[in-house]
Amino acid sequence: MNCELCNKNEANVHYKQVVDGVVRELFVCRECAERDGVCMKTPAGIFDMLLGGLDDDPVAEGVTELRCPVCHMRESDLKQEARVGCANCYSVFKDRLGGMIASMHTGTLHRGKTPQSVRIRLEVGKLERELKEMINAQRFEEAAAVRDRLARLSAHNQSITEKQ
Amino acid sequence: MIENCKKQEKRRTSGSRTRGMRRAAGDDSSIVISSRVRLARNLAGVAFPGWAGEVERRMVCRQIAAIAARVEELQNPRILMMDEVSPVERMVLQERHLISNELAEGSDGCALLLDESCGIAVMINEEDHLRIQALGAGLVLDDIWQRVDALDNALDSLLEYAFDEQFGFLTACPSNLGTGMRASVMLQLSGLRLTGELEQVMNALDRLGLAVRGLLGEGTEAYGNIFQISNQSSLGESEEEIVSGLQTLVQSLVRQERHARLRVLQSRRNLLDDQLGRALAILAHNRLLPSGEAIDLLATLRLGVETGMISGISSAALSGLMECIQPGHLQRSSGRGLTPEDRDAMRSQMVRSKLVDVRLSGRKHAIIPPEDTLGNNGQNQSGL
Repeated sequence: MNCELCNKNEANVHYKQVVDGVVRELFVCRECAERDGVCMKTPAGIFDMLLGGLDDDPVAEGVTELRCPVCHMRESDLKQEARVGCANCYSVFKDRLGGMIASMHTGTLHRGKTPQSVRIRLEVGKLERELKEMINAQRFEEAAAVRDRLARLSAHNQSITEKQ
Repeated sequence: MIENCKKQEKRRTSGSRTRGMRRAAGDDSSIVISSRVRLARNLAGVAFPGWAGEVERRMVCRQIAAIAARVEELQNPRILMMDEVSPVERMVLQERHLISNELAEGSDGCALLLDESCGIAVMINEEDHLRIQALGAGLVLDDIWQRVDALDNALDSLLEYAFDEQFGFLTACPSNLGTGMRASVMLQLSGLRLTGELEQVMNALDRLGLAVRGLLGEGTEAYGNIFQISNQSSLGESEEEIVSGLQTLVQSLVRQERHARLRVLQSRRNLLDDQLGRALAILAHNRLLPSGEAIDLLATLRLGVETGMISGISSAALSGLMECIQPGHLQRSSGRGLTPEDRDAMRSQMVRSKLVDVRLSGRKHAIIPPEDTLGNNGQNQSGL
């Protein structure tokens, strides 16, 4: 679903606020959430965040709580479970998890295997950029070769998607 | 099913041992008991098992079951649904390192996808949707990584994994992000214990960012000075870097352990002789043998075999015995539930029956009394 404030980006933050006893709920994108101060709480320390005690009332007056719109995990659930609920949680709770991830691992950027479908998508993106440059430079013979490679990759990608 | 697995694995591990011995200039299998590699994977668009509902977990399980037969890397695959596996069979799978505590305790949608040899398996709906793992005897990290990698590639072509270009494979716990890989090696460091250097080595491993655990994994004691050493970081390095880093470190540990054993043999032979004598005396005359103590004593004998001070049994037979005497294995072979005391009595008798030919170097006679000196229920009739 789209962000209920800008109506452009995909909503990945569940915004919940209590004002004068009335609960207001919004699904917004990260940019709008940051602009509106939703994510302005001081980031907690790694172990404080995952192992620390839960707030008695996570939705207190004027306090907002992050929530994943896909699996509906709240920040307080994350503290309790010490595990994320789904893949999208990494995007929603990125600010909260970043420090912990950095302290746990040798690096912060993946350097290992990449799934076949992702490899193809990255290669397609690269070839499309090359194709555009070649057409602009009127290098049509080279562009034709790149176009053929793109067609082969798209067919291959289609067969993978069908298998999945 | 598991019995069948056991036979298949025996053929496989004996082959792997032979290949290892031919390949390696120095035989690491006297110190390294086994190697293991696992990859954590999740399916895109589905909540992770700990947060998902029963319906989603069962759906993931059905999805894996539907593709299992199309995966060439698995020979005659079978799916064992944990809620259909008896508590004793679960214990056996756990003791054989095929499932974790978490999977053994799980129910809805928790399953094990196992190939005929039991050398490669996939835990379904453990902490992550898939835990792809392979095991092998000795220091064979490279070999088993190749097997796990091939199975992972096959599954990747049939499933869509949850993946992020920065964080790699997305996992329920951030500690498994990136490659999702844990490579581990189980090894016996009795020599370093005897020379008093073990603590120093453990501290060094900790500083190098490696996890050190006991025989049965996290939170378990290191009976028999047997430790599992594994990588902790899975993000920021490639799979090959993780495997080769651990392999190099274990080779260095093996050299240190070998030197320690040599030093004990050269300058503190009495100490080793004393430990072996004590172990044999307890093994000969006990009638109730708890599993932790049994592992300690059998590991001491294994050290004796490897240093040439014990004859009449092989190191591999002792490793096999260490597995057979665990609670699940004992209950399965007895065909009924056993109280802890019954198990200790059965273990005691079983161990004595396997050690009748064992001799300490320089002594003519066997130390363990043959079974005919024992009563029908294992009671000692000799007055010892």
